[in-house]
Amino acid sequence: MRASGCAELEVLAPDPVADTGSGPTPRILQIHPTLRCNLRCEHCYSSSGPEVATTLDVEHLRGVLTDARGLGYDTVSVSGGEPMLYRELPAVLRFAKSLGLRTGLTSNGTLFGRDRLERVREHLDGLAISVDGPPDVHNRMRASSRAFDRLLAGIATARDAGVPFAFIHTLTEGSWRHLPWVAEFAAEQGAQLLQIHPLELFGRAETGMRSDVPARDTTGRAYLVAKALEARYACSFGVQFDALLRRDIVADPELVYAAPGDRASRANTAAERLGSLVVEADGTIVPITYGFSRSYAIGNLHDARLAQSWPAWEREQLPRFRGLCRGVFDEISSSDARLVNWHDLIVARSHEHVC
Amino acid sequence: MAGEFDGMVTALGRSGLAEEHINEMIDVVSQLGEDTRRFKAFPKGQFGPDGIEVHTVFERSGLESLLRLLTESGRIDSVEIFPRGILDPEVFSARIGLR
Repeated sequence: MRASGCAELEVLAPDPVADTGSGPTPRILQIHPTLRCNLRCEHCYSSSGPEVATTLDVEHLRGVLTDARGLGYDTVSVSGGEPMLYRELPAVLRFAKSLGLRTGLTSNGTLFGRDRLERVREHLDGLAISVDGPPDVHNRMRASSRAFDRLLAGIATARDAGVPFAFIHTLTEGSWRHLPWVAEFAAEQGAQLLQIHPLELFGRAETGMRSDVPARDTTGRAYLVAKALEARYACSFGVQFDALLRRDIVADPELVYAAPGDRASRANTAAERLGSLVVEADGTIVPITYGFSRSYAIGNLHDARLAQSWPAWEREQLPRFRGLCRGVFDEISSSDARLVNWHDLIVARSHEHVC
Repeated sequence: MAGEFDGMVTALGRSGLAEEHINEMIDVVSQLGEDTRRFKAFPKGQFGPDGIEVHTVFERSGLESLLRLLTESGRIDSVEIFPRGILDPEVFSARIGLR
């Protein structure tokens, strides 16, 4: 199974960190063009909502897409906020495709109607749609009594449009019991992937869902159910569980950027040295995942383009970043945990180790 | 269809199930890895779980992983392995008791 930082679709492809299988590893640029959203979900890591106006302009996005392609990134994942509310989304996706990037979109699935999906369909390789559980659970998490019905309509639209889609389920302390329901729903609806992502305490979740973060044994239970579901539905869809086995990390430290320097220096491109970049809606570019400490930021698009910021970051900050990763690796190595939510851990430590 | 997992969710959700049991099961299924075709878990013990039984079906290529697991684990107290297939079994089912 695989892992991912934020609950982002990686275009129905393995995650750069967790996947230890064969085949090329996608190098991902994740962009958050807007924090505007039609919902105000309890677990939203970016505190998005209808009243939030933070938005990036399309020229900044064109620039960062061009630069990321030049640095070796091959996939762009668009999130938010609700990306379907970003007016220039078709232009961004079209431009990304013109650069040869694979494109994915993470959405709450409620705004595909009125030709919105049709306008981006031809530039889209995959969709990730959030599903929190049975209708009552989903509506409660989404703070909307109509969210599930609108989700159903959205899924039908995506299916009719022929866009491959995945479901993303945010795992909470209580939701692991709903995983069989979510898997059955995924099979019925024709999803190609079920991604299970443990709740992270960022954004709105940090204040309202502190007790809902899955405990270590709950994550273990969820992993076991996920493995059973993976075997059961192998002919219908894949299952991605966003945690790493400690054993795999110890066997291959570079999974978490913690290999000795000589191995790391063999990377040929920027994207090989840092598998995922995240552009937040205020223009800040951070490594790995949304919410990473800004003391490790690569730059801000309002100040300089990515291509201008990268060389200095690689020279001055990449060693510091890898030092952070080695510290986290040591912490993981000495623990008795079987499963590690590395993204959650590295983000937490990034905020503690600010120099 | 999801009802077929009710027993497993109930078994895993029992409050008396120790984290060591969870860890041991993670070891079982993760070491069998891609070779696993089916996996279920059931509690052992009449008045409160004092162990768990794992039922799994796996490909022939998983045998080596299973044997390594059996030699490494200190919590396994029973193992039954059944070959499936006449003359040349390609698939095996196993019941592994964990205490």
